[in-house]
Amino acid sequence: MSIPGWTNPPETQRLSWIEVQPLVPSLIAVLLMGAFLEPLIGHLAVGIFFLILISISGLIIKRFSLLLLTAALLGLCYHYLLFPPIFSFYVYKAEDLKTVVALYVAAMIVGGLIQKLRRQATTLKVREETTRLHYVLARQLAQTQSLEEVAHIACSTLSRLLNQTIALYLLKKDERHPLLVWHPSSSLQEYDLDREQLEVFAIQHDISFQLRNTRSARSFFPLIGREGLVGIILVSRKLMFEERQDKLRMLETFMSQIAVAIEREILHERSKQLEVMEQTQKLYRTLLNSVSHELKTPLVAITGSASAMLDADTMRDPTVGPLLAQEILTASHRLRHVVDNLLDMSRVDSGMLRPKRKNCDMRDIIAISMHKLQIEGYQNPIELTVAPDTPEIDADPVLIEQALFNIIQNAHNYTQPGSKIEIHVWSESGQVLSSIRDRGPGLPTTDPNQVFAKFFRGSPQNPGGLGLGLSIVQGFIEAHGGTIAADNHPDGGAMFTISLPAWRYSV
Amino acid sequence: MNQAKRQTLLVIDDEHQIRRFIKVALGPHGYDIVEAATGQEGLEKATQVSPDGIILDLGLPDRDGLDILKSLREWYAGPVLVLSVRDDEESIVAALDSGAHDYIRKPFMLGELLARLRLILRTHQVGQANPVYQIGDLMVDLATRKVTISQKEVKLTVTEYELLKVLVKHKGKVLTHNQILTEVWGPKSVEHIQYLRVYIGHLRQKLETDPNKPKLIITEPGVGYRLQIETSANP
Repeated sequence: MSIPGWTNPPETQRLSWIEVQPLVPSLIAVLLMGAFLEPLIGHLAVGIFFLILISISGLIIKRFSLLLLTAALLGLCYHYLLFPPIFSFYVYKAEDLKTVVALYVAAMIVGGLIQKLRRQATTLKVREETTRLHYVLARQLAQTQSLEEVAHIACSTLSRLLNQTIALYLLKKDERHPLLVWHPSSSLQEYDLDREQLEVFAIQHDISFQLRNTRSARSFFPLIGREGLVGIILVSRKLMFEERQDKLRMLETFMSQIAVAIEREILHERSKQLEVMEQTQKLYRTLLNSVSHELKTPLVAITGSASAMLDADTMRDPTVGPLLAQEILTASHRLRHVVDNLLDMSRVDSGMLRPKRKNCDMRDIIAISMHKLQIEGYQNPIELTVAPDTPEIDADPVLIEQALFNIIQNAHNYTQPGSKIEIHVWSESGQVLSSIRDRGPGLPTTDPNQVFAKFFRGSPQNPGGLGLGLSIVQGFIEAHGGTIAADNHPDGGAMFTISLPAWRYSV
Repeated sequence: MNQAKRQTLLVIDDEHQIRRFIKVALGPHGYDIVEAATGQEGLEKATQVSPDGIILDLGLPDRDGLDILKSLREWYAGPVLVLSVRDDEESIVAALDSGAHDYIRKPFMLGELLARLRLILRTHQVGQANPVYQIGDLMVDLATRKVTISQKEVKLTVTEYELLKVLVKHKGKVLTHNQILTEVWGPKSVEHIQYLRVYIGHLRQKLETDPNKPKLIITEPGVGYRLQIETSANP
C-alpha cells in the first residue's frame, strides 16, 4: 500500500556518497565484462556495448548528475583500460577521439531521455496510487462511527502514505487554553522536546497548510477543519518532497479530509453529551417534582389535621378526633414510604448495596410481606402456591421481603379493591422462581419492562408514589445476581417473575 | 357552631388524602363537602350540586387547574378558593386574574382555610350595600370620601384614595397587581407596578402605625396586596 515515490529527496540536493557507493561494484563488473569480451569482439565493439549500457542505465539511475558521473567514469576507464594503447590516455588518431566523444554525448542524451520517461511514468504511478489511497480514505472515513476509529484510520493511512511512523495530536478546545492530546492510535511515541513547539504552534493558531520542522528534525503539519485547527500530525523524520507544491497540495487534501472527519466526530460526541445532560436534568426535575409532591401531600394532611385537633370548635364533634388522628397516621406512613424509597434508591444507585446472603425459605419471606401488607391495610386476597420440592434461596431475606412487598403493594395500588393476587413459587435449574400476578389493567404492551424505569408511573391519577418502587425491586434482585421480568399474563393482568439463585448445601 | 344553613363546598383535588382531611375537618364548621378527584369530574359535580363555593387544586393530573377555572367561570359565579404549592406565584396570579377569589398555599392550617372560606363566602353574599367600612382602627366612608384612623381624619390624595377604595372594597381578599392597576389607573397601566409600590408606600405612611411593619396593607410576595381584616388568622 505504501507509495515509494512519495518522499524522494528533491533534485536540488547535492549528490551524496551513499548514492554513489553502489556505482563502484557495478562499474568494476561492467569493466570486467568488457575485458572479457574485448579479445572476442574487439575494443570498438566493447565501446559500443558500453554506450548501450549507458543509454539504458537511465532506467536504473534516477538522478541525472549520477548518470553523468557514471558515463564519465565508464568512459575514462574504457579509455584507460581497453582503448589502445592500454593503460594510457594517449590517442593515435584524432578522429577516433572525436567519434568516441560524439558517441558518448549521444549515449548520454539517450540515457537522459530514458531517465526522464521513466521518471514521468513513476510520477503517474504515484499519482494513481495517491488517488486510490485518497478514495480508500474517503470511503473509510465516511463509515466511521467514533473519534477512535477516525484517529486509527488517519494514523494508519498517513504512516502508509509517508512510509514513516507518525503521531496524532488532537486539540482540545474545552479548556481556556488549547490543549494538545497525544492520541494512542499514533505509531510514533510522544516526544517531550517537540511538544512545547507544537503547543506554541497550536496557540498561534496559524491555519495555513504548511510543512514545518521541529528542532529535533521531524516534520509536522496542521489538521485544519472547517472551524480551524483540530490537531497536528508529527512525522518521525524530516519530510522532503521532489515536486514540492504538487505533493504538498495532495497531502493537504488528505489532511483536510481527516480534519473534517475528526471535527464531525467531536461535534457528534458533544451533541451526545448534551443529550445526556438534558436527560439528567429532566430526571432531576422529575425527581424534584415528584419528591416535593409526595412529601407535601402528607404534610398538608398532617398540618391540617393537627391544627384541626387544636381547634375547639372542630373537636366538639367527638367522632372527628379519631378521624383526624387516623389522617395523621396515614400521612406519616406515606411519608415514611417516601423516605424509605429514596434511601433504598440511593443505596441501589450508589452501588453500596451488599446483600447479607444466607439460606432462607421463600415461604417465610412471603409470609412476612403479607403480614406487613395486612398491617398497612391492604386487603386484596393473596393466593399462594409453592411447589413441594422448592429449595431455599441464597439471598438477603430483608431485601427480598422488601422487593416482594413493593411488587404486591404495586399490584394493590393498580387493581380494583378485593381483586385476587396470585403468587407461584417453583424451582428450575438451580434457580428459584416466583411469579406475582394481579388481575389489574396490565402493563404497557409496547415495553412492559419500562415499569422498572425510575419515576415511571402507570397512570398519574392512581394513588401517589414516586415511581421508584419497582426500580428499587429491580436493583435489589439484580444485586443478588437474580433477574426480574415484567409481562402481561395471557389471560389479563400484570405478571412479575423473579428468579433468584437457590441455596447450594455443598457450599 | 354555625346555626345558619350548612353550606356545600366542592373540593377538586387529585389527592384522596387531602380531600378526606378537608371533609373531616370542615364538617363540624357547617360545611358539606362534595369531592372530585379530577378536573373533569369537578366540572360535572359543579353543575350537579351548584356548590356555595369551590376549593380547586391548581396541580391536577388530567387538566390544568387554570383551564378548569376558566371553564367554571363561564357559568359559575360563586367564590373559588385556589390551592397551590408554595413556589408557584405565576399560576396563583393567573388564577386570581382568571376569577379565583383567593388562594391558600399548601401546607395550611385549618384556621387559615376557615378564615379564607368565611371571607370569600361572606363578601360574595354581602355585596357592596354598606358604603362605610370599619377595619380595626381604620374607617372609610365611601359616600363622603372620609377616611379616619382612630377617629382622626387622614388626608389622602385622589390616587391614594382610589387605591384605598379598591383595597377596602375587597377587604381581606388578595388583589393581584394587575387587578389593582386596572381598577385605579385603567387597563393600559398594567405594566406600571412601580406606581403601585410608590402609592402603597404612601398609604402605609399615612395609615400604618409602623409603616415598616405593615399590619393593615399586607404584601403577598409575587402576587399582590391584601387589606388585612383580622389580626390573627385564627379568630
